[in-house]
Amino acid sequence: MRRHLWTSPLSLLGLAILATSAGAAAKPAQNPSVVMQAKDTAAADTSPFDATDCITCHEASVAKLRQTRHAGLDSSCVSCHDRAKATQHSKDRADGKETPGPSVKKLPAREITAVCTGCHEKGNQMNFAGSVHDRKDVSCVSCHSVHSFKSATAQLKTVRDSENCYSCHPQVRAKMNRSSHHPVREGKLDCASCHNPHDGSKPKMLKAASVNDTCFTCHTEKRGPYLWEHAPVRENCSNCHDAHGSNHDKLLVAKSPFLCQRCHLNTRHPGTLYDGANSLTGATVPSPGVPTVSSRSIEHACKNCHQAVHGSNHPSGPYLGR
Amino acid sequence: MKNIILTTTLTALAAMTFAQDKPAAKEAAKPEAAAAPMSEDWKAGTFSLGAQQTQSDTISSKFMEYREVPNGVVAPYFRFEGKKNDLRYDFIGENIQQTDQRFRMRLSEQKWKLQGDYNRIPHNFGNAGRTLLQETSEGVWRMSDTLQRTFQTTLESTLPRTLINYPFLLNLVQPSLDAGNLVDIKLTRERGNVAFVIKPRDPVEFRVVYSRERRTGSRAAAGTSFGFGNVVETPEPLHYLTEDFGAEGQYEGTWGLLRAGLHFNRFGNKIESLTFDNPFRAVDSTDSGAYQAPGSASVGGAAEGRMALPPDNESMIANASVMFKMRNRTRLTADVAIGEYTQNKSPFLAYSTNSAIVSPLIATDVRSLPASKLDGRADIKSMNVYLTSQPVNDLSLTARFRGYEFDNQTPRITFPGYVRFDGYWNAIPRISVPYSYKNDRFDATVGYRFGDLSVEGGFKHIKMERTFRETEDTKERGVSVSASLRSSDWLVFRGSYEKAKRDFEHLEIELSEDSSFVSPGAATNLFAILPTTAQTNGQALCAAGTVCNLRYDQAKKDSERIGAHVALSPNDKVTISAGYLRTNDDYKESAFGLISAKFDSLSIDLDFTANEKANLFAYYTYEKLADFQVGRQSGATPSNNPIDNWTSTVDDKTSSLGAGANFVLVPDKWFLNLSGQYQKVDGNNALFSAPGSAPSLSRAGIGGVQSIPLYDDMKIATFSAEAKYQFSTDWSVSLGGWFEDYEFKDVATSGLTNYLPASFFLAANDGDYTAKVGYVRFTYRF
Repeated sequence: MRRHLWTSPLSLLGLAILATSAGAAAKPAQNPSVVMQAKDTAAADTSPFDATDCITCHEASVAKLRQTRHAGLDSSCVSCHDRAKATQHSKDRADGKETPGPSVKKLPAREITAVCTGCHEKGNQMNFAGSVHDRKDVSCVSCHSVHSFKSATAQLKTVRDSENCYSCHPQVRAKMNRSSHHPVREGKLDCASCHNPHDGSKPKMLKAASVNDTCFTCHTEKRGPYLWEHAPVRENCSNCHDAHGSNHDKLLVAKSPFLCQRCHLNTRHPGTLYDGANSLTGATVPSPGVPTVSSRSIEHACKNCHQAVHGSNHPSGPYLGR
Repeated sequence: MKNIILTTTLTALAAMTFAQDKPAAKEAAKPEAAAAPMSEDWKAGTFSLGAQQTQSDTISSKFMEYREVPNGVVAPYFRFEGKKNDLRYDFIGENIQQTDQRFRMRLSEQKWKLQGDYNRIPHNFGNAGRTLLQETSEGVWRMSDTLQRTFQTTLESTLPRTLINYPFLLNLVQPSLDAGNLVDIKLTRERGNVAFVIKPRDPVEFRVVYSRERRTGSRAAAGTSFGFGNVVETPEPLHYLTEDFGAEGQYEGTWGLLRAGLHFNRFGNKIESLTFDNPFRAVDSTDSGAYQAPGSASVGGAAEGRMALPPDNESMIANASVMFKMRNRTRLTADVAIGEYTQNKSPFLAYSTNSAIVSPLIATDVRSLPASKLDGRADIKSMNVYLTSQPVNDLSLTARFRGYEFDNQTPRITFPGYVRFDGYWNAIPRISVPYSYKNDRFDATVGYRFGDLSVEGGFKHIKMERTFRETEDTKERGVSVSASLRSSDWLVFRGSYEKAKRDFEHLEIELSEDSSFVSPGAATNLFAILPTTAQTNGQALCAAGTVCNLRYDQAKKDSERIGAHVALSPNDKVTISAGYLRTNDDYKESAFGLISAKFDSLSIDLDFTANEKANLFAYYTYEKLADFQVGRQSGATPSNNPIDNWTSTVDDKTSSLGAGANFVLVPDKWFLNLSGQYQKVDGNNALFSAPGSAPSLSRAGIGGVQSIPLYDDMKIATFSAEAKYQFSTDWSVSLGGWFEDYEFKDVATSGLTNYLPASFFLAANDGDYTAKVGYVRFTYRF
């Protein structure tokens, strides 16, 4: 598999890209529209900048900024805003003329990103370039605000990160309202507890190396390895769970026993149909005398007996029943 | 292995420490510190204190599932932050003295940062569950010996045994249950972490992290069972401690970035087993039908059962990544992690607690086991290579490779048999199966920007290799196209379409259930029989050349995903956005198990800011989930009669809507915030089996197979209002309240009682509630 990939045309294309891009870090970008140049240009004129004029008119915008590390930037406002435009704007204002200010948020998305990644392209943000957010023109200011942030950390535009994410992922907002959910709407977890929205290097922007490793962050007891393993559980928690919410117990993607019966159509009870007559709220059964409700379809259904579905360490647990 | 990981990581971290500070150009370019009129010292604080009144019409745990909504004095929030000289400080507290309290702190100077977080998360599963048992010590649930003996004697003296049916048993246990013990099923997570970051010199940064989480309480234990006739649901006790120690380093140069880290994580469980009494047996006994007791087959079994709780385990992962920055916005990142999971400290429990099982071995004696504990170890390897570039103007490329391997090195252990639900020795030799897998994924995209419009094409290839399963590997290939339009400031459109196909190779369908049998017999699972197996209709189980009975995580699959998002901002006041998402998984060859899974979602959001005094927002989302699966009911051997098939068509429709408004009634004085959310889920499971089938025949007296119209129906509505009066620049008072109404009609849990056929249930209350909360809060800010 890997040998195939390394010799594929795409890999060769990648090598060609590297060959043409190599060694450029110390050189200024040659293509004027390449966004990295915004950073290089900004770095070119680093002489001190007097922000007094800016503050005179933009006191309200600066009020919150004063409380952040951005307030201490060496080049003050023009660390992020275009120096020439800022100077011109200030002069024009003094002359009674209205010219557009050096707004960052009105720049094209990638230029906004270039401004921020000039300093922040490291740590958790090191792989933002080329990420799905970057490619879809979601820039830093889509979620963050330098001047009027509302969150306690990370200078987000909303109080909680989830509110930011829901603006483009409304179906996740809907799922978070389900009966079975992670405590995101209660504010005890964030989307960023599992996802790194800056990381383009991993599928689904998960923070950990795999789906399961993400889940093991909080559910360490399920890490094992176990004496008796359950193969699909070992491979991917998402085979059975929807981490964003579900109306079935334990965030399950479907209700037991039907979920289990997607794989276990064994003889006798596993393959048996448990219908409304076996349930608590299903069809009304006309006076059967003895309830036909079955312990295999109510409460935890299959797990009423096979409780160790994530793995058992009991010598008598090959059926995950101990 | 552990030593290799440790040595490699420490070497990498040390190398960073002593690395020469090369980016001289960058340093030289740094100017003298400018006059910084915005960097003076400051401090700010917010303190909220108030009183709250809560009213709820039930004791349902759902109302406080992950939160506390107390009565009386509340301190919902404080924050104290500021800067003095180089020191920045920030302390935040939420829900002080409540079970959901949280504290955060951050201290930093130019060269270092210290941050901490303590987060307490309650998880209430159910209130006032009723049980005959009582916890006598951690992990041991007993019932009255007298009662246990009485029940045993009653059953043993009841002849013929056919009289021991549900009405008989209900009559026997109900009076005791009515006087039984009440238990709340709840746990608390207390998680704290502290991170210290130091920058000894500018491009080098080190981080040391310690996190600790204690989980105590109980959770809704899935049934602790004595077999087919006697589930005894018991709270599963938790006394977990997870600790994580991490050290990370980062070196930043003009060429890029180097990071390395080492994490050691250990999970400890103070309670290694859960012991629970058998309500119907005071004295151990054994017979071949004990796993079906009490009933016509047997009244035997163990006096107590015991299940293994999660064993202690550890993980050690070392990782290193390097990112090269090149021109043309080219970035190349390589990330490697190696490590291991180990589980080798917790001793095995004996085969059983049943002292009556003495042949062919003494089941209660751990010396009867072939091993005293598991020497569990899995090697973990992962690698990510990520390349992104904009080689020419408007053209962008990305390519990613991800390799992940879970290589289970745990030795296989052969057991001569096992004890079935602590009742009976089953002499069927079994062997443990240390599953391993390897998952490689490659994907790439090519995008081009035509002015405001960007288009992108993508490709992905995913390969999964497995051991001990019916397919040795599966491969999924997919292509995608997407477009993104950002026209000036007022229109954003994103649309995408993705299509993928999955196929498998190297099928050994017998492995579907045989891997853990030392001597596999005839297959008992429909998923384990050969696709060519003849049916009563004269045809093979599967059409020629197909495998229709492969599990859904390996079966051939066609996937489609369509997404669209439009946002319109015609002016500064209005934003309207709409989103559509469709996912469609079609298991095209499958005739059994999951056949198709579809999900559609449509959303509309509106935000209107009339002026500085009024902002309104509203949203609506409609979701439709449709799953279709097929089963087949069998007797003692897999049915080869297609008429015994049954189908389940799940159709969940969900409507969610929300709205809110924020008003400034009198500038700087009066503020009003209103919001509401509503969600309704209408679930239906339409079940069908043809007349004459085994499922239909068993329901001949009630008109055949019954569908489940109230499958997972739910309504939740929340409305809140808050008026705030700012009576000075520092002080404000808020008067508010909220109302929440929750209804859940679930086929599995709604209307559960404490004794139903074959089962004792706790039937803890996590159901419907209506709650009203009113509060007054005083807030001081400076």
